[in-house]
Amino acid sequence: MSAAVNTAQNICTVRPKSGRQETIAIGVVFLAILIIAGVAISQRQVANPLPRLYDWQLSSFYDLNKTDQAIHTSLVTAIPELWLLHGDMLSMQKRGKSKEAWPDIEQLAEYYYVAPFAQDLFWTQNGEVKWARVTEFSFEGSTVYHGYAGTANQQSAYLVVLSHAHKGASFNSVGSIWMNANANAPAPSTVVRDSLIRNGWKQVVPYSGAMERKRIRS
Amino acid sequence: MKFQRLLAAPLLVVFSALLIGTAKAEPLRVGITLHPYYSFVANIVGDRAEVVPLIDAGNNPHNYRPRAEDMRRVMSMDVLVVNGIGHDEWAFEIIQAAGRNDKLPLIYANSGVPLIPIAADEGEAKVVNPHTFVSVTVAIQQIYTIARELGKLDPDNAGFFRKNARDYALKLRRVKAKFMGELVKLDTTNLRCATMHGAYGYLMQEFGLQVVAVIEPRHGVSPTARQLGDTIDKIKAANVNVLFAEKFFASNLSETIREATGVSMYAFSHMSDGNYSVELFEHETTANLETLVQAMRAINAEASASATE
Repeated sequence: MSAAVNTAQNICTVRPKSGRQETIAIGVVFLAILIIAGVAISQRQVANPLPRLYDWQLSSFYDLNKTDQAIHTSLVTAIPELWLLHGDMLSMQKRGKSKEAWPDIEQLAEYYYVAPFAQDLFWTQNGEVKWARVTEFSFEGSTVYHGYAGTANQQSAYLVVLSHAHKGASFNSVGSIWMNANANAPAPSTVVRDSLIRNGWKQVVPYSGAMERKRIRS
Repeated sequence: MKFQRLLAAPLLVVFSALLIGTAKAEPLRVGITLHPYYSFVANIVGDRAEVVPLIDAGNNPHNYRPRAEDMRRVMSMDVLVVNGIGHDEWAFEIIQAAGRNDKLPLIYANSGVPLIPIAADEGEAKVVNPHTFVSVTVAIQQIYTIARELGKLDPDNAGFFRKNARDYALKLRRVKAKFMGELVKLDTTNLRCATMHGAYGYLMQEFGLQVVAVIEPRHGVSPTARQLGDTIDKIKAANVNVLFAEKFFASNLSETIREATGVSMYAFSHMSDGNYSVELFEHETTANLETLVQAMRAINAEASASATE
């Protein structure tokens, strides 16, 4: 009886019904769930509206104290005003009525009342910063307004760098704002980025309405 | 006959060219969502465009629910000026409902404004303050943005808009300078203020003044009893002496706080009430700054009275 069973002809392999196929099927379903979930998660990712900052940059929204933030806000608003006045002065220069191409601090403060240059309550409450126009960078196509010696607690020194390719000034032209933790940091000798960074200056990146709109949408 | 036909074609071309040359482009219909934007745009465009409020005057923009007539108005606009950072989200609902999602050009007045958090929000997640229109400095930034963008849509009038924007900015700066001159005579070191709403962060910032506490940072979201208790403790601990409430959006919380702390109370304008007008922003700014000077004078008088006692 047992000899008959052991003959090659009589060997019959019986595969369990819950064998490999079922394992494969479960694996496929598991993999499909993982893929679908992965795709769904990736589609629901909220884009970060904040630009990624380098270590030589500061966020105007998160990284500045109240005084620096107030001065930054006023400087951002002053930039289009500076470009418009620059445009006026260039056309006066062409007519021989002005030797200067950029407004000086006195003009900004006393005639146009532009903050933070005007010596008003804002000025006294925000450290009485001294301002100077620096035009020695004309070969680099830039003009700088330098704020220093502020007396408020943990106040920075400030730079407004107005760079242009002389395509004609408009109030669309841009400028960048830099801060130095040393309130008495001297005006730089060049506005080349790496040099500013080496001398302790950090560029301030504003959190603008455009970024907030992007965040609201996302 | 052949001669007449030959003559007709060039005549038609000449006549059409004359018509195109003499036809004046229709002035832009510029929509606005909030009262101050009416003043900004009206001062920029003068008589060379029409300013169209999206919603009727007399509505509270903090909890506005779109109506059918708003859709009709949005359909007639060439462009819409929006705050876009949380103060007029209903405008986007109206645009969507009117099916003008990708067809209506929008001017985001705040696109270039450096935003600040709601005052006294430190310690928690910082929340953007959308009230950029209750301040002279930041308003000027928006006026320039609006003028520039309108100039792109109407290049023939771009120079006119730019000039008007500059004149208006200088006019507003003069208003601010006048009150700066008043305030600089007063001792502001004794001012420790709280505000009912977060609307005045930019205004206080441009005068170098700081807000110790904001009672109701988000309109319509009343603080819980515990939060109110904490705020009252904060006001007492910081020795706050002035509470700036709202002229138009009264809250009975302000009375509760006044009773609990004994602070003096003054009211600022949120600039979102009354009729739309060219002068609204200037008038309301003047009123706010008069209130600020009045509060400061009272504090100075109290300080000198207690010094003589």
